Amino acid sequence: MITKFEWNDKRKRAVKKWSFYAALIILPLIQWAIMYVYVNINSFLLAFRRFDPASETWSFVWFDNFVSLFNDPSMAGIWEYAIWNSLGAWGISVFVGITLQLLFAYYIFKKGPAGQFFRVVLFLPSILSATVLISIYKYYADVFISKIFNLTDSQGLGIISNNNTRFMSIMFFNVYMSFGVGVLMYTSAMTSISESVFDACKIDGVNALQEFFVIVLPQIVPTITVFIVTGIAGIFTNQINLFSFYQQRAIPKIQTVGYYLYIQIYNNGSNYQYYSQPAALGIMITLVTAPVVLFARWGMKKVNPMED
Amino acid sequence: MRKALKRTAVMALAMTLACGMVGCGGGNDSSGNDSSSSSTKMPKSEISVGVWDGGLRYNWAERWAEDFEKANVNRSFEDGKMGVDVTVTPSKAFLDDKCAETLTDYEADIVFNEQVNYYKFITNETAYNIDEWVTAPLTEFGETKSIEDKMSDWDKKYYGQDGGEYYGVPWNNSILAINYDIKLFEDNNFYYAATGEGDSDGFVTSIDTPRSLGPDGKTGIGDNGEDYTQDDGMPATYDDFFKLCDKMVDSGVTPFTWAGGFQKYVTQLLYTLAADFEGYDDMQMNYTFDGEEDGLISIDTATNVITRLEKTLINTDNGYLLRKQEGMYQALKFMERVITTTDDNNQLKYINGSDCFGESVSHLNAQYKFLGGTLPGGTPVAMFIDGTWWYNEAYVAFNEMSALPGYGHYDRRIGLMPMPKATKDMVGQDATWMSVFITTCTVNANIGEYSEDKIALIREFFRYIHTDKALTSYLYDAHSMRPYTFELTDFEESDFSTYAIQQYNIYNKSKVVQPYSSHYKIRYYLNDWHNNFESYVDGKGSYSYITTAFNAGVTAEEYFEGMVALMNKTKWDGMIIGADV
Repeated sequence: MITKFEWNDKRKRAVKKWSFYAALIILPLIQWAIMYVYVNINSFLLAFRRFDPASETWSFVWFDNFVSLFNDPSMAGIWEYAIWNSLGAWGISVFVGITLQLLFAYYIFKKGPAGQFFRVVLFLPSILSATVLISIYKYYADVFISKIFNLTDSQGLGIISNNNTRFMSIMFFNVYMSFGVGVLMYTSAMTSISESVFDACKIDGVNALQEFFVIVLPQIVPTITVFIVTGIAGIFTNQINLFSFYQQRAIPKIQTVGYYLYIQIYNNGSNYQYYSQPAALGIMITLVTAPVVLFARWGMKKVNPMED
Repeated sequence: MRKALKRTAVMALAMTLACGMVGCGGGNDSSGNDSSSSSTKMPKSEISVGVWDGGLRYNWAERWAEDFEKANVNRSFEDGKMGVDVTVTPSKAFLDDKCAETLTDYEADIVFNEQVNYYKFITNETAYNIDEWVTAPLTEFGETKSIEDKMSDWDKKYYGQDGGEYYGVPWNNSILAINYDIKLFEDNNFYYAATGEGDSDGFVTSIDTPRSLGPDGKTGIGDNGEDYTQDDGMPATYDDFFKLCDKMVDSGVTPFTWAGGFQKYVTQLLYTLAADFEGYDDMQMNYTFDGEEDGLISIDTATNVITRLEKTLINTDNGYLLRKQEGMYQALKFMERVITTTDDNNQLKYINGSDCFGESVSHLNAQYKFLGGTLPGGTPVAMFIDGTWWYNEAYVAFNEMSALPGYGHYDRRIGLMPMPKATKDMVGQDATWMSVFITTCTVNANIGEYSEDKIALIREFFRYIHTDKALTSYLYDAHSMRPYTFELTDFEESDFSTYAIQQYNIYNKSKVVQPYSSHYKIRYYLNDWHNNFESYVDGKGSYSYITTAFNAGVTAEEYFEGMVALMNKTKWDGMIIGADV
């Protein structure tokens, strides 16, 4: 039988324990509720509403904002460039970015010459201010590199200013920027592979290339999956640092959907009448992206040998 | 030993702190206050002025503050206080419509802001009602006019809410202009000569050669004292202008430069060109959507044949048709020639591509290239495209060069080129200029919570900064014009920079279109209509700036029709309010 004293003591301990948990998670929960739940619900509702700037009231317009995405002539740039640029940026990030990250991570993991140096240099962009780095890169690539490697066009324009090379120059920067986190994560994943596996490889006379493709790569598929799946989820929200490069001035030819959405809100500030169309575009993007993300996740699980 | 070390360290730190504290004190004495015991011991009344931290800087506000403090050093505005301390704080917060929402979050009592929809201050109740401050004559400063009396009719209507009350007044006249180096023009005989004078090409042969009448077709002083000499010798037509550019190239001078990283400036020059072509009434119609327009055109981009449309009654329903104004096409055509003309080697003739399109060339770099072009080893540049605020913004460049005679901020002679006319038969028409964005001076609604004495003090300072004396000192310090009519006081005309005095003359002689009105399409959909140069050309893509479009082979005709296509009836009808929703 529990005495009254014991019961009170137990209750006190339970309250103490739950108070601790509550104190620990209440702030993150509030933040999540405001910054994620509220924002997303609000964005969803915005897509079906329209703001009257005169009376400052909202009214439901059902699918008018979606229809306007196709009727509004100023959306031409989105359909013509932004969507393809977003897809292109994702493709480069995956096929070039992840491939190089994996190779560098493996090199560092295998303690190749100057491996630690590469680790620091490649991680440096992640700890420095992006704005500072971009200012340096912009000048360095546009003036210095362009002149040294004779990459200027007939008008003397460097690779950041030339309309034909802007996009790829920016993507080069983005790939480099993504190295820090990518290399760190892949190296960590590789470190978790049992040493005995590598010992066995050595005994079997496996060369480095075989080791990478047959042993290492299959073992870190879950990490790669995370990068690929989150990358797909962010295809149409990634603004590839265009704002830092050009502020609001990026030419339509290099804009991505993410940049377009960002600029719409940035330029219009408190003019809420301009929010509905981007919100509708956001929902359309989600409708396209969500199944692709789920499919990619399912597909990656299928090719993951660790699942067996 | 350790104790001694500790003591020494503590002593050193204490002394450092003491030095710092000494440095903090006594700052107010620089204003020239007398050291009478009463004024130094009593605290001062305080006024806080916030200024958008941009090209116009805030040195002019500091002079106002200093003069006001000096004039009132022995006056008590509030019980227990003697004198005034005016603090000027520049801030990036006083830009765009967000400022109208957050103004009351700031301590500034009076705020000079840029590109903020003035009516948002009123609907958000963040601005203080200053109707009486603006409409009462400035008699306490020995003037008979009120602030309102000094404003243009357009500004009275807009800021006074069409007969309502004032919650703000205009700050600065911000024109996008072709700025030119007067001395370079003189040294190279870049002026057109009067009929029968000059060389075989019509240019002056020396500084003494009589000059042509310029685009306004007049010279000398007008009946009402207008100075018509400012544009004498300037190219009168577009063709004259490009003939001059060719002469510049032959003389080893680069005709144009602008900031490659700020393509918007060169695009905004379209407004200045279009306004001069259209004239005040037709250009201002872009912000009233009320009037008769007989200058609308349509272009067949396959043949470049221009069709003039019938006279059209413009109203709220069809305001989008103003995108077809011929002035914009003529402006595009002019800029197309500037940007795309090439020489025999297929190189850009009038501009340096890497300067004018290079992303790493900032506005400050471009200012430096223009101002320093005539220095030994430099490439002289005759004209520079930027807004009138640039002259104050370039103070670092001016300071660096100030040791050289004629290169200082006040002795450098830079002028604003009057826009040449599109055709010969337009020569003689009055010049029209255009401001590219709104700038406003508002009073923070927070002051409503202050004591009556403090409000009276802020009122007095606000009114003081709109006296002729303060408007003059602004022109002197900012090298820019506040859009008010006033007499120059305290300074001689020769004290001002040439750039400042030219703006004064332009404002007093010409009409300036202001890009705002109380029309709902402008109040609520300004971003769709104004400063929006987007164009969509079938098969050649979308463009925001003319430079990238022309570089990509888009013609002026295609760009024009692309702009028209983007502002069609569907788009226009979507810019709705109230019952339409």
